Amino acid sequence: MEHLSYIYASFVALIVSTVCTCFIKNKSVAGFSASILSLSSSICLFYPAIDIVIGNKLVEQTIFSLKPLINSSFLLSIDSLSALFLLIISLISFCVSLFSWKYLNAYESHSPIKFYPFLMLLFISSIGVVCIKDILFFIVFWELMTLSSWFLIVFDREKKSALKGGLQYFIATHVATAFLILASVILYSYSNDFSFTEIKKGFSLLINTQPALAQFILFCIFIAFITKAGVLPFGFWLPNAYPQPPSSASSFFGGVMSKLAVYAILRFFYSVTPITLNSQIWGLIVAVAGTISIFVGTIAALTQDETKRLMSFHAIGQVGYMLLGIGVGIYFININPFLGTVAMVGGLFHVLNNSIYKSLLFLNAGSIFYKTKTTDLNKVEGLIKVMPLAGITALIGSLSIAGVPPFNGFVSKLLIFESSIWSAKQSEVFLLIRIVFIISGIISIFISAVTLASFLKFVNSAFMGKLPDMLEQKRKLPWSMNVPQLMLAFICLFTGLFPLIPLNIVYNAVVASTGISLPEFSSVFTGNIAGADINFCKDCLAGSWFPIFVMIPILILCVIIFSFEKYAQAPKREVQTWYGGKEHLAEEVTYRGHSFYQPFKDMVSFRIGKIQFKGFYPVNLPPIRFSLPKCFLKIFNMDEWLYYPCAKQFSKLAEKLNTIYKYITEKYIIWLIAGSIFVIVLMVYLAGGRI
Amino acid sequence: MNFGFIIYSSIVNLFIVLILSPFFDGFTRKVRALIHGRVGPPPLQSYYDIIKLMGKEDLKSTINPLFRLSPYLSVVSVGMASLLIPITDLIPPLNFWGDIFLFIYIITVVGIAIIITASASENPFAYIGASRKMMLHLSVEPILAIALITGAINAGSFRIGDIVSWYYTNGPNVSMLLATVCVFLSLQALIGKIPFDISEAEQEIAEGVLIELSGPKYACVKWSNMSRQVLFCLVFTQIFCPWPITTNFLLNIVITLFKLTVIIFISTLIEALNPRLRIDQALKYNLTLALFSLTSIFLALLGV
Repeated sequence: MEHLSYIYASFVALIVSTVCTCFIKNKSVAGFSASILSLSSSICLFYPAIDIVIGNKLVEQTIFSLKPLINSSFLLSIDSLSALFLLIISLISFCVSLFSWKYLNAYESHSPIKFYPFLMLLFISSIGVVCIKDILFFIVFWELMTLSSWFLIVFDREKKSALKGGLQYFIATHVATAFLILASVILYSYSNDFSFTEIKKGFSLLINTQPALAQFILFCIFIAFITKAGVLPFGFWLPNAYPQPPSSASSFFGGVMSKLAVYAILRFFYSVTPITLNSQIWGLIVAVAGTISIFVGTIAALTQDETKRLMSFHAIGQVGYMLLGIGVGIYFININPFLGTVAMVGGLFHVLNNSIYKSLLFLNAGSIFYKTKTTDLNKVEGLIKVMPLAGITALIGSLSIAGVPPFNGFVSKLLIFESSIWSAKQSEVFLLIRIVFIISGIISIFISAVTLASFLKFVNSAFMGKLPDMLEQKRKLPWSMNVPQLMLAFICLFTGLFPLIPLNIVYNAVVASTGISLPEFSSVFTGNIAGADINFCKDCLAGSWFPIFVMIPILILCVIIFSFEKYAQAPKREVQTWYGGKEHLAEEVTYRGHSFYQPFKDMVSFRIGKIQFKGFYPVNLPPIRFSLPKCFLKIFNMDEWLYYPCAKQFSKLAEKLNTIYKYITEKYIIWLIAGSIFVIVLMVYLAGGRI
Repeated sequence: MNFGFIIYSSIVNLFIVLILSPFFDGFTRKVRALIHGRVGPPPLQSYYDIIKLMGKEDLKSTINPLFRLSPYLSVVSVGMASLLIPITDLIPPLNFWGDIFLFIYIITVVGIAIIITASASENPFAYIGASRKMMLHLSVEPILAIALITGAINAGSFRIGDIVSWYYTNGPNVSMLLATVCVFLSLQALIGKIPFDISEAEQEIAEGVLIELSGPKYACVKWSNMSRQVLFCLVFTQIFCPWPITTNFLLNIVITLFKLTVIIFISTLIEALNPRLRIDQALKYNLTLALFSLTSIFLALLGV
């Protein structure tokens, strides 16, 4: 149980820092205490997480139980899948809180009390979400996560867009949670217990006896989590909500929070509800939903000119890649376990990679904001000269997200591409379904180039180009903002160069999540520390990627060409940039971010009716107006047809009764006499006339 | 895995793609001059250009470190991509270490290197060129990817060596023939010659991406452009038309060089006889071709 004591320690550290930061108004003190405490909690999380995920262990403890009231208990249970996400959380949470320390100074008029407590609550709740194996407490933590992130989104309450984005976020996530609650209530009514294992037992009965209801439950779960993950069209809120909070919080949103939805999909589709022939069609649905959001999300991102909004659209697109991998995995895990394993490992590995480079890119956006007070790509330029580290790390992040070798995005994308295309070889599957999977694979390859294009636009317009003169004097980035970016960039490179280590970790997580026997790791990914071969059936190599061996010729060639240049000894001279022979100010002729890829943007922008589509994404949706028939509205107006008529009749009655015995003494006497006669007659009647 | 084979075939590939490429460039210049009715430069002129430029003054318009590094990266990545093409045998030297996706992405790196050089140079003309180059790349990359995937589905492996071996032994089937035609139709766009040299259009944007380069950097980027021509012609001749291949590797090299000369001659004819397209026309052409080439995948799924 020593693992759990570390987890408790990290919980305690985060709770202490939540409470502390509630009372500290000084930004640097609050930031310092938050980053120290989150560092300690990250260290406490890191050790058990890495130990569990490497040894593929399972640590379980029931903290308390609500047994007399309801069949539910606070079951803390960490398997390899949870541990993988704990690893991600521990890494990103530390980077985010260290980055926020100095970064919040950019928001001069805002108090840190609006930021740190909610950030720490967000950390606590995301740890809770991955550790809990009980659907009731899962929903509690899930809701806590939603609420604390909502407070972060409306951090800048003066901005109208923040309030709008916050409102959309609030409504969308709560509708999604309603679906989740509905699903869990139905599940509870059949299994009579909220714990995941009991629900799995109940569900395996249910899918055979009442398939329609089981499919409905799966539908509810699917809607609930893909809304949170931001899959289009349910993720309409995401590009409005993610850019609003300070960049460090956006970085946690993009890096961890939207990935927790993918965690939940994995957890619910693999462990809570078993994969059977009936539920495998959901693999196809998940994959298609993923492909739609890859395509629309990323092409829409190409048309954006605001850094954080661009990245939010990419968050949508990247979640699509994960869902494509996971969907192929769900569909094929029973048909061809090798293919299913590769796809699932690819999807989950993309989660790991994406959380790293997505946070890195949001932090880069934060650095731009810290320096220039804006993230509009049309207004910033040439920043690599004042913050070279941020520029280089942004380039590394961009190449990683585009999947350029030897960075980490390449490995996971390779697995996703190959597994979705390999479905062509599964001749037992219906042809149309295979075509759908292959088209998904090809779209994802094409969109990979689009991703590269849109991130080169980001790097080119923000970091390259001429630096405006007034920026040069401003202070440099503090180390506390550089260190997280460097760390994350280094991890991007490291996991890209040595893919077998993270692949092994991710494979353990996949095994823990499915709970069915998968092919051995060494038979799926043959290879050594230098790289891996990918097998799609027993002993048949299909693809391979050995980054170390591939890097050797590149290094040799680099050395040869550099020595060639040194040998030539060309003289060097610094000159002005040439603007076409005529003297122009740099500001007059700069090529702004908006101008990039204009012909391509024109090709993907069109109109349907009154709705303008920009990059397949509607930009001006007409406001939705309900015009219900009047009688229908009347039904809801209960005052009108129920309360007021009744009340009116009642008061009329009371008035009438009033007039009967009002004002006149004789009337009272008559009433008294009549009453006493009535009483006497009644008594005589009751006594039966025997007086 | 034969280590000797890897070494000598790597050297052969690098020699053909990097060292012989200025000669082929000289050949195209000669052919173009003959079509235009000029005498033209001697065939070794491109070597003289590169050697002269290597010693010329290096003008730096910016202190950006990426401006200094990325021209060399462009040459290196073309050389790297050449290691994934089978020349001496049916399998390329790097067959065991990377597959078609590595190839697609290394080609991307060539583009990235030039785009970053261009945008680091701070010149607005270079920015226009970079933007156009990226658009061209993202419209033409799917065609090559789809053609290679068609081969992968047919052969049941993602390795280039397996695809070529399957194609060589099983002969051309309908889907592979269609893929081959699509690659041929996109060859000029892959090479970046007229009618698709939109990113370097001399008359419009004064060589676009190359405008601020001088001295060794200019030599490197020019060299990588020449090598790219040889590289993509080799992709067509070696992956999509692998016949004939013998057991003697010297004979294979000679056959390869012959096929390469023929393809470069055809490409030069297209270049000399056509005007330059506008970028939107080029995008439409490429994306239509990409959609059309999806047919080859369906045919491969049906097993024909």
